[in-house]
Amino acid sequence: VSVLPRFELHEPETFDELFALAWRYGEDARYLAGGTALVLLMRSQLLQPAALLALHRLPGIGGITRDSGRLRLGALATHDDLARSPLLRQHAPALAEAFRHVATPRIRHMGTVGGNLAHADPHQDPPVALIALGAAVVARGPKGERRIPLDELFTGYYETVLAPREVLTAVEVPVPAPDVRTAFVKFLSRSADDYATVNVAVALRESGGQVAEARLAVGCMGPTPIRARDAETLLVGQVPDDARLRVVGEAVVTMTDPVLDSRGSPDYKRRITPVIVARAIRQAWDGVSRARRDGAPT
Amino acid sequence: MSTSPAGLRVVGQSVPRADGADKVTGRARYVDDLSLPGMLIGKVLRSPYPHARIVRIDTSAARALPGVHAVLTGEDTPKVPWGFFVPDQYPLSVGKVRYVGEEVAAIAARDDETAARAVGMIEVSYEELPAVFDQEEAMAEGAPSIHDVTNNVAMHFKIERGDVEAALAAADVVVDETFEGMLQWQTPMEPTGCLAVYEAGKFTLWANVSGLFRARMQLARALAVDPGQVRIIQPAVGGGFGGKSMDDNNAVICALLARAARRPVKLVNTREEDFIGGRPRPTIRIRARMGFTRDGTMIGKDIRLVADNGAYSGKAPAAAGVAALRHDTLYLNDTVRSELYVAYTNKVPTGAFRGFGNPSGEWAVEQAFDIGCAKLGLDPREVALKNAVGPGRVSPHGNRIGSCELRECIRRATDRIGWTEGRAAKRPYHGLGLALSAHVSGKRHFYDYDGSSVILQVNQDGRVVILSGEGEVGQGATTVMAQIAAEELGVPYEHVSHMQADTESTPFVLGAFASRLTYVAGNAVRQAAAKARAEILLSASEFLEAHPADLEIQDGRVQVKGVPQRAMTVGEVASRHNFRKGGQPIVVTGTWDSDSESHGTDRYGSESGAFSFCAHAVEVQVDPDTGKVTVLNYAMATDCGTIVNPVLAESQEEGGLIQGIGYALTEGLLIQDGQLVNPNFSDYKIPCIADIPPLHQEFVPSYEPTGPFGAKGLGEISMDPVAAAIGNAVADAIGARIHTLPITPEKVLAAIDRRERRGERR
Repeated sequence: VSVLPRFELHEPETFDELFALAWRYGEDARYLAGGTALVLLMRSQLLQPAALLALHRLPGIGGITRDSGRLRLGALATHDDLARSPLLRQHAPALAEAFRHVATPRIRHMGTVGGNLAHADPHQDPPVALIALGAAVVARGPKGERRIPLDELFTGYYETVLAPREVLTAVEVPVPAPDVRTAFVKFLSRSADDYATVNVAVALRESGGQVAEARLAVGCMGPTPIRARDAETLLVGQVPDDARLRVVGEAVVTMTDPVLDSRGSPDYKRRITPVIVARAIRQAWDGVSRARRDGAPT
Repeated sequence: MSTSPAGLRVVGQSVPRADGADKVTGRARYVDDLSLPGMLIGKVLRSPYPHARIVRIDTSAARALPGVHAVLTGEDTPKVPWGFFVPDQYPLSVGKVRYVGEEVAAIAARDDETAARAVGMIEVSYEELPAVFDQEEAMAEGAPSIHDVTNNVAMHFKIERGDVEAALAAADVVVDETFEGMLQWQTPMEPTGCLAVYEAGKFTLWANVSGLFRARMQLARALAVDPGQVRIIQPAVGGGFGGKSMDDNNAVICALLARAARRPVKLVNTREEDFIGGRPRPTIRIRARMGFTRDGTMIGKDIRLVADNGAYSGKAPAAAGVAALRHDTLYLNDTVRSELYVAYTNKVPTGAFRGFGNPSGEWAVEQAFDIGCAKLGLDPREVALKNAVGPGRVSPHGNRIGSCELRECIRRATDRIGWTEGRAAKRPYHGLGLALSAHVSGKRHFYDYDGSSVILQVNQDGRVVILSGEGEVGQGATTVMAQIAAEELGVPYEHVSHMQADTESTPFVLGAFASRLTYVAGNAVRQAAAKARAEILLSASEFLEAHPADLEIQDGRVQVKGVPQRAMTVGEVASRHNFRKGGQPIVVTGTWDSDSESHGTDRYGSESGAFSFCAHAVEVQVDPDTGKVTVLNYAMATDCGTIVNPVLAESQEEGGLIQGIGYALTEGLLIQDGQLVNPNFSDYKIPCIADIPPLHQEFVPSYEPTGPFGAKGLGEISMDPVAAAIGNAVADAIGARIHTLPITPEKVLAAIDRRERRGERR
């Protein structure tokens, strides 16, 4: 039987209370959202916090809403909430799809989007899908609130720019323009129930038969999810045909730094990354052309 | 709807599992659910080094910790090496450690937390020794010596029947390729665990082992006591698949802690401990040479196997022996040679896993067969049909085959997958594969004995209790035995129950292994039920005033044939039989030993009383850009005689297929420099249900005359040929062969690259 180290549990109801507790415990405290990653780290003795500060009673930290062109995902919205959210499914189906493929139903019902991002595991699906949509996170600390673009949040394996007492309260996703098409492709080298070997999310806007805007993100290929800006530049003003996709794929690979794990070697991961990037771009682009063909509003 | 063979009422029916309701309601009590007053929690300190001399162990700080009741090291143990086939391991390390995860010291403390703290306070100084992690490197000159044996070889044999070199020289086509499997872990839902009590010179253990009496023999040896001083009771067991057949030290250490602490001690592995200190399927490197004549007749076969034993000999010597020889039960070729080495390495010791040596052997040999077919330009289905054995055959190693519908299995499995049409309309990166297997129904492995005995009692209410020590690890054995008893006796299935397996109250048996319980224990149960039936009829003949031959038992009632109103219940008969002067309960024994033969050094003789057969056909698709293999469709046709319980039989085969797909595509313990790097379900991937293809199952009509109601063994065979069948299908899809398991997308892509560099196209 593995032993969960002893800890004190606090369930503050205000942010002031939360930050006071965080001040008191300093580095001995951890914020508790869904706990799916934290409890595993504690069970394997990698973390032994003296106190867990649960976030679930704080005001305004849950829920999924839309206001003035933005989707606001409360930090404590679970993966399952997000996968099923009618708002997400309508405005950002690729994002809903990404949440639907996280882990297993048990994890999806416990794990939260805020916890997922703060944990900063580069193998996760949601950060990749969110970066492609231009999401930002709202972080609240004792001195107030700030917005951090998601592609600037991560700094390394399990590391973010969040200050010690800052807590993620929400994720803001601009509602994609009606002519933007998105795709999320997760490649699994072993079982359907696994972390991705590589995952790619893309958002494209078309104009005059060419890519007018592009945002491309790749996961599992380095210490953080990668926003592939160079590759985006190579797409804009172009038709994403096979030749262009090869150029884009090569540009993505130069930005990666994969490691050996049980899903594959670095060489293998580099080899298949352009394949998955091309599939994601094609899938999004097919959405663009299908929409035009079907006469749907563009 | 009745699915029973003609004339049968209970055998052939999908009655609910005897243990089903308890398990789904949470009533079933597993080791970790058990608790005794004053019980302590055990915890083990394991070696961080693959090979090291123990210089010093300081346990003083751990001993001084309040709440710690016992601290043990190798010095506190009897230092008697133990093991089923090659006694070479100690309960706790003596002198040196030989793999990462070896048990060095153990603690019993008042709770988990104290035990964990105390383990952390034990100080061990090691002097690292050179280590070796490959079985052939271990056998090479100058390799580090792991045990006091020459070239680290734990076991070796070489068997030749006929002149193999002459046959291969005469062959039109000769295959010569080398394959290797992998360390596959059993993945039971419940980890290995034990609760032990030591009182008045006697150990009592609730241990989740699959063979209580074999475990008792080993425990007595390791504890240096008489078997009568050890009692083992089997709680509900959450799956074993061979991994709970007592090759590891868990129960021994638990017993030693209970004796040292003079308190009950519970020691349950964490999942990680189960991974690093378990006994996975050994990996075996197999060079297979196989010769055919132009018409597809196999005329000679030569295999050389080098098995990786790991640091100690669990059941790898026996499993590797099966990998070396069993395959020769499948084909008509009599000219065979097998040479086997089992070599020590500084890795986790290995043991029994569903299929035993067969999945390892089939992976190599059934692929070699397929390569032969390709070289000959012949359809593997036709070549398999041409070479397949039939009833009455004696294999080159002396296996006497009774019932055998192997050829029908080949026809049905391939038909169900659309084999002939699929081959005719071959598409790129789309492949079909076929593989066969033969499995035993029990094996004469332990002295000259391959039998089973039961006690069967008919209570005064007519309910029947079977006392059998064979036990239940989740495979459905007690359900099948109850069905056989109910059928033979003429009572409803619901009237038959089992006594919990216990070395002190159920008779000595060998326990679950080698797919033996339906066949061997089933025969013993049937015999006991027949005896009870005869006794009931004799007694009833007095009460009903009719000749026993004119009586029958139906649905729990004894009646005069043709006069159903002249009847009494079995309970009434048992009651009147008992409650009279000179009366007695109806208690009978049933005992049966199979007609198998034990092997001497020549490895000749019929190892089992009956053989089951199967053919698996599979359709795969390969993504040429990523190398990912998708299994599209799977068909298995099995000859295991009469099916006692169709739903249980189907689920056994489904489980075997899933573990087989894991063996083929996703699993494998990864050991780097001696460290297991994937001891969890996030990194060690078993297939999930979304990975499982549509499955077509066929049980071909078959009747085994020596089996109970015609039944043979079925628990393992569905796992045996899966990897080989998928390997053959992948080769068909990509035009190149994968030689090592698992078949990862990375290996497939590399194979496609190599083929393209050679300028070949699909």
